[in-house]
Amino acid sequence: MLIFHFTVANLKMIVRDRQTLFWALAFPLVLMLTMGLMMRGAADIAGAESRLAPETEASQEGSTDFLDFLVPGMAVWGIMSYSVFGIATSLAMYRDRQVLRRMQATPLKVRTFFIGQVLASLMVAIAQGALILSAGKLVYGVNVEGNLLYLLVIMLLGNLVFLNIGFVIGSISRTPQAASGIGNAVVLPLAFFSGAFFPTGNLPQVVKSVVGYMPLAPVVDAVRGVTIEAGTLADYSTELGLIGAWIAISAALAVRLFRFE
Amino acid sequence: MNDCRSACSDVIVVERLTKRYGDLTAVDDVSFAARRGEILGIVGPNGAGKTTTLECIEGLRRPDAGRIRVLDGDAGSAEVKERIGVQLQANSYFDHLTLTETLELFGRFYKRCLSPARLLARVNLEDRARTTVRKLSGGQQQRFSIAATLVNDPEVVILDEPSTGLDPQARRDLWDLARAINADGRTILLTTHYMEEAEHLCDRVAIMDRGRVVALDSPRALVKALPDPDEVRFRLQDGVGADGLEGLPAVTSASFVDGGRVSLRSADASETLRGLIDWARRAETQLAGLEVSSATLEDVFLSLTGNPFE
Repeated sequence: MLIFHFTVANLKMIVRDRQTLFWALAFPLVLMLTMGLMMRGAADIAGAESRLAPETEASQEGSTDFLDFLVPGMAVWGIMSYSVFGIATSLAMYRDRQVLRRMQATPLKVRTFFIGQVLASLMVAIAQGALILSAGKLVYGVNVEGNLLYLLVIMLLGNLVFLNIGFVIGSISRTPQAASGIGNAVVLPLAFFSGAFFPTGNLPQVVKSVVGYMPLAPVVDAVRGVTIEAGTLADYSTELGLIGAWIAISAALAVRLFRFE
Repeated sequence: MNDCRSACSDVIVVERLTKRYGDLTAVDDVSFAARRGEILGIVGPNGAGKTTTLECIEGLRRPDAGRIRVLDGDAGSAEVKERIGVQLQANSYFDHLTLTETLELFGRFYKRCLSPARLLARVNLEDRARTTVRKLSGGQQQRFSIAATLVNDPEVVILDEPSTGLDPQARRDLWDLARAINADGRTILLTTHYMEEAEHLCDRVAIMDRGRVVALDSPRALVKALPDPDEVRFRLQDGVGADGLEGLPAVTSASFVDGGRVSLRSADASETLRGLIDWARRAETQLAGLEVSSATLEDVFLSLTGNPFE
């Protein structure tokens, strides 16, 4: 029961911190819409050229395909950024302002605090993922083919890893600024090399195979598999297995490192 | 003042507490006890180890040596946390929850809790119930954090420098509040670096300096324990000699200060005054501008540590 009330309280705090919420939700959305516009523009030029020179293959089709590829990637990147930065910076802020110490002076268990934070952030992250995918579909007609329930499961599981990473970073950072810096150092390389924004086909084999085992790539691949190819969970059992392993590793780390003091 | 108290149980017992941070020994072999129902103040300059001592009692820091019992339980145990209320120095609450929501949430952390409306009424914040914590003024935040320490109806309330940063009026309001909480039967342990606050608010005062408790008693008794805590001053009339003043009861020294005023240092002003009045009758003179003053805790601190306070 306490977990429920603590989760609700966390949701209230997240929703009332308007500025943080706005940037967390709007930035990935605006970035997605802008990139969509650029792709369309590029497609229009390509389309015009193809009318002049009918033998070129470039067409509206090609760009739509890329948006189909890009939008799910951006959705996953969006929830990852939100989860890692949101948890890490707020934990560091709570530590800085002795909020955690104040919790420690009560009988509240670390576990309850942890779960309450995770549940509230999961809900916001799922809403954010849904927002980006829906905007992609409504504005650019991006394909969201597969079962929405599968999407939900993959995003929930993947986001658990991201939240645990947020807890780890929040636990080792002394200040919100440090949390934000470490968060960037983790999120940016992952986003670039995991195929969230562009296909990894041209990356060196070493990079590809290493990044394939990092936590972002399996989530991106599985989400894309469902949206583009209407895949089922069974089709992505390898990815789900990897995500499961990361949940275990990241949760163990988070539980080990996160303390009220 | 109340002899029962020493017979009643001690609610906090600190035995040979030591806490180090690297090379710095913040608290050095400190022992003391808080009696049920009293307001016990720990007073001392910044860095004396007051906050660290409190944090060990609250279970927020692990002592390097020594033993702390709170309400007959181990400091920091869940059972003890259920029965004590803790206020930290910082405003350590969630920015975006209202006062009522915060008190409801904190209340749920405990088995036993008081209603938010009642708590807010207690600290005169009923009309801010739906405001978020961050929108309160400094004095209001301080009062709110005290309301939050009462959320589990605690037997022991621990306040860390509750009046720091408050203006004089807000400070006096806070003293009234602390006395009212104490009158409910709650034991209060607080730290302060205002000697005046310790003197006016606390039943007993532990004076801390450089990690040690150098004295612990009621403010009166601490002052009384000085060799000559009182001073009697008056102006000698023309043609009257000062002979015999040094021999008056309880007087330790007599001297002339600022232009013809006599200053008598005394171990007990009432004894000295009795003798002084007889002396004046015999000398057939008036005691013009007679003043009696008593030493303060600052004098006690100076005499115990050899350093002026702050």
